[in-house]
Amino acid sequence: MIIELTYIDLGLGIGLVILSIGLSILGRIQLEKDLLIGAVRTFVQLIAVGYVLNLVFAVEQWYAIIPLLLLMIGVAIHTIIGRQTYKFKNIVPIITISLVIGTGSTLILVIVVIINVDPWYTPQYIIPIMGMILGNSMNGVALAAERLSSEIIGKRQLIETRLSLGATSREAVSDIVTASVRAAMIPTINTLMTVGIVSLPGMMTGQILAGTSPILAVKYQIIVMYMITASVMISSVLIVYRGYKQFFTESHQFKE
Amino acid sequence: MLFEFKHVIKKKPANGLKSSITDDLILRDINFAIADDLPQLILGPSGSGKTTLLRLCNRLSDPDEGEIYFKGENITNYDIIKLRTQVGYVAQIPVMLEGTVLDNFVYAARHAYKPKTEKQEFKNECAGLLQYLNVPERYLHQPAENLSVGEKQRVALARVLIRKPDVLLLDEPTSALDPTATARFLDILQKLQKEMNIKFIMVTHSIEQAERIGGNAIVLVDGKIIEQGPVSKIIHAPENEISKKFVKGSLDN
Ligand SMILES: Nc1ncnc2c1ncn2[C@@H]1O[C@H](COP(=O)(O)OP(=O)(O)OP(=O)(O)O)[C@@H](O)[C@H]1O
Ligand SMILES: [Mg+2]
Repeated sequence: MIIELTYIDLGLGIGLVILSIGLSILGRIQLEKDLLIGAVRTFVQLIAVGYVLNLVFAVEQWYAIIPLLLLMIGVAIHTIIGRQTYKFKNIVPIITISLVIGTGSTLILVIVVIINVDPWYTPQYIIPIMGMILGNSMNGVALAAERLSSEIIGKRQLIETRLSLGATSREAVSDIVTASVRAAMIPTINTLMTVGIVSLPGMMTGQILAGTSPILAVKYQIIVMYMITASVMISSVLIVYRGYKQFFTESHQFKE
Repeated sequence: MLFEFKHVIKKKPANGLKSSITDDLILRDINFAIADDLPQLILGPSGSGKTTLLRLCNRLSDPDEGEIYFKGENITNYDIIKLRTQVGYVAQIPVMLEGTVLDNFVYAARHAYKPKTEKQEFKNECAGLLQYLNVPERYLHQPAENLSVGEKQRVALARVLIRKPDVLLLDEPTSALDPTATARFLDILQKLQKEMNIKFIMVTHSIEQAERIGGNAIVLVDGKIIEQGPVSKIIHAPENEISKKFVKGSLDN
């Protein structure tokens, strides 16, 4: 049995935000505006998503799911690009390919092989799973790409020293490439280490609130953690190994 | 001819700020040849394009127009890694790689041949080079990053020498050395030339140094060669008005 939430209940929830705004004013923390905008956006975005999902769940056809998945990927790409201080050449196709391969392969594996959802486009499964894979891969790719370009640009003299000592461009940036993948993976690895001890993951909490048995919720959570790991790893490896090449010519020199 | 430059033009890299009004050439129509057996100096005021010119010789960058020949062959026909082994480069600002001075030697040697870097023999060779360049041998096991700029310049040269190059590109290699160290450095260059038969192309804006080293020189001003020939002639009987001023200006300080 799950307790229904009304809009009146949500209205009461706003009291929590007002409390935070009050504290911000009292402490001259100057976060009132951001808090207000953030709270309104949360409300509007989630309600809108709720209605869209409701619709997709009602239709329950692949032609309703696919556009939604594409839209999600599109927003993720847009967000990643927006977060980059330096936009290297071909960044859009490279990020798109990394994200599509990283999330796509993981999604297929989880939906078709591991959970074995039938039909594969059952919205109850594919939408939240894609949401989690994509959200984490988006953060990973954004971190990896930002780290990669800022280090390649910032360490230009060091890289040129290596090149003039006979290193190929790949050898000359190998430590930067590794550091970028590590930067992308650290949040995920931290979660793998502390999950359940320090925090309860959102999905599991949601499932338990919705009445699933804790053991089943935990099993799903384990799969979710593993799939996030794989997807972030695949997409960040792809982005850095494609990305660094954009800075160099075939003759192992910086592009100008 | 060691190197030959034919109608070499290098533009400023486009960075969005470019307008058609601003002059965007760093090197304009460079034509000259570098002899096989004499040191080649590149003289000229700051910002005249000396570093840009030098970096074309090991293809850290390529000209926008024109050709460069190395030992008679178009430089683009060489395998780039082999070219950079033959043509060693010591940058204007010495950059040390991570780790100890020995690690720097290992990295440099590893990409040139397959040295037995674990062997005492290799360490002895590195220590010998340091000694040769007047850097205390014990620095071999110290973090390279901690060295003074002058020490880094010499380690950077030693690091290139372990790769057994034919030609050295030196970009103001004595800019951080005191007069004694400079004198010693120049002696070493001459020794390298005699004993190891290493040719060098050196950027400097010191007329005194140029006079000591001898050989041929070009004077680069605003991306153009305004004078070329034997160093002694350029210093004592410059033809071009600007190079006259340049030579005099440098002599004054
Ligand atoms: N990557 C670049 N982008 C824009 N301008 C550049 C670039 N590299 C060089 N320049 C410009 O080209 C000119 C020549 O530079 P270069 O470094 O070759 O001078 P230089 O003769 O070595 O000077 P110095 O004696 O101070 O080292 C300078 O005006 C410099 O600002
Ligand atoms: Mg220079």
